[in-house]
Amino acid sequence: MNVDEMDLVSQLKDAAPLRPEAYERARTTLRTAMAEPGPARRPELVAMPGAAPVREGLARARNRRRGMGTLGKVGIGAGIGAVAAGVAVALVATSTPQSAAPGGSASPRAKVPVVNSQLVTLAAVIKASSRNLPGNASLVIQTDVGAPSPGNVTYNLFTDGGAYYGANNKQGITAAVLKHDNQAGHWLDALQVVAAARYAATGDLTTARQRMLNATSAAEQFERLLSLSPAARKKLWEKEMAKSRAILKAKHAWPLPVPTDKALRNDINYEIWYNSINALTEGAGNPQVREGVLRVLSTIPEVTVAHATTGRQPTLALTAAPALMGGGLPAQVVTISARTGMPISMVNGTPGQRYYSKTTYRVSRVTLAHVRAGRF
Amino acid sequence: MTSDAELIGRSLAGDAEAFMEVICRHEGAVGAYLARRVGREAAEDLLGDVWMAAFESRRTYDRSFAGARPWLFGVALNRLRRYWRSRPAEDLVPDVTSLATGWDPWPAVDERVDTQAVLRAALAKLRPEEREVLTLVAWEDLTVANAARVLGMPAGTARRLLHQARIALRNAPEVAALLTDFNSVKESL
Repeated sequence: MNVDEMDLVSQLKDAAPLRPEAYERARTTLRTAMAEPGPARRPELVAMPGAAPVREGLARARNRRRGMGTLGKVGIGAGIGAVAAGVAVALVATSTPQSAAPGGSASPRAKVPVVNSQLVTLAAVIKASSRNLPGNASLVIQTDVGAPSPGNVTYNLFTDGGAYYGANNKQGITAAVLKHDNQAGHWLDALQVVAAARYAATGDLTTARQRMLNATSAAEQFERLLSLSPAARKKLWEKEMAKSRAILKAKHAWPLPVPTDKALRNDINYEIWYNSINALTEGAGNPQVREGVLRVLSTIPEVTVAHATTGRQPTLALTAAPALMGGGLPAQVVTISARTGMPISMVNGTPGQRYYSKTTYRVSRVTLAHVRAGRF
Repeated sequence: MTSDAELIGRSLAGDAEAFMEVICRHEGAVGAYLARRVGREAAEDLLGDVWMAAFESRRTYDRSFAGARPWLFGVALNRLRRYWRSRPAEDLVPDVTSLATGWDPWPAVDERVDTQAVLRAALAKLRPEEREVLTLVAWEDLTVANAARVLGMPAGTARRLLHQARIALRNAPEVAALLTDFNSVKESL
């Protein structure tokens, strides 16, 4: 068969494919727009004071903040909750704390009941089966699975001494260790969430939640807003929104309503969920971390637990309800081993049905000597 | 499988997830469509805008068509036109296909590169609407009727434009030479 002009033009068809994270970013942009009433608007960046610089490596290894991946680190709003977070930081940072609401029961410092005993039970099982860990580092291989491109793989090595090495393949990890390219200094919050999880394994749950919450910079502001009486919160909010009007306008953001108690509690619990899941994926090699994470998650009413099977192994599907993310966004589902609490996957989407992104985790213990030698 | 038209209908009735399903079905194709025309970097920036524009205009979707891909290409094309209009004059090039960056020429610094250069030059000489129909059919695997939907024109018009484009290419001396080369090599094998 002869080649014709259409065949020739088809030769120009090749172009570099979009990266999986670009598809996810675009979907998140749409989800954000859909969550807003009225015409869809593109979410704008609201910089959070003190936000860590975005780096590859661990950035990719970390839990997707409200489905936004590393962009969440700089507070790109994915729904009104996230934008409110950005405003709240600016708001409270320039304000004098006011008197607490009567009763103060809304504060996360109040005694927090366990609402999910299954997680506490699994935490106890992990504790009972804990023994000395082999090796001196945990290797977490993270694969982003999602249409349309093949999954991206990230190798994350967390040493027991607190160092972190990240790369896109085995050779890269070996090279990073040989070059002593420890990136942990850029990710102090990663160390903090793991430390909070370890505390939670044996410590008081209310304090553990507080530590998990405070591992990231914005969290404290939610608490302080929650502590205000409705009138005081409204007054302060409106005053600060007026101050921020020019900034919001420049960023094409939109006026935000005064956050309700429920919204602030959801924000607090989402921060705790987010940090806990990061601790789980980063410290999964340590049973104490898994135990602590499960105990902390057991206090969040919006996290439900369902029995499932993954690869013929019994698993638990921990689902953070969309309400936790401010509504309008899909649930986040983290699947863990029902026997060990090891993370297996995280999905943004409806369990068992549609999903928009999926990340799988493989966790193993290794020795640094073996990694240096490329034998792992 | 539920058709795109049904999902868009559900979306209009308030089911936001239904529209996300439509997006998930076509994001690869629309992403590639954008990348072929403006390169990967710009395509990645534009994709979210395309989805938002599609969501905002979904009421205009003709639900007698089961598949939404041509409609989404049309939305993407509108966004591309805005993008091209917004580019500084010095960035504009006559042939939009040459903007598609991201391929690595070095492993094939040979006649393949020459062939591509010749073809791009020939495409650049076509009328824009001829080029659009031609590339929608050749690159996006659309039928002429669906290419017409993308461009908002009658199918007969698209067929005529495609025919004109093919004749123009075939008669371009450099393309004719390429065709002769290719076909004589094949015959000698």
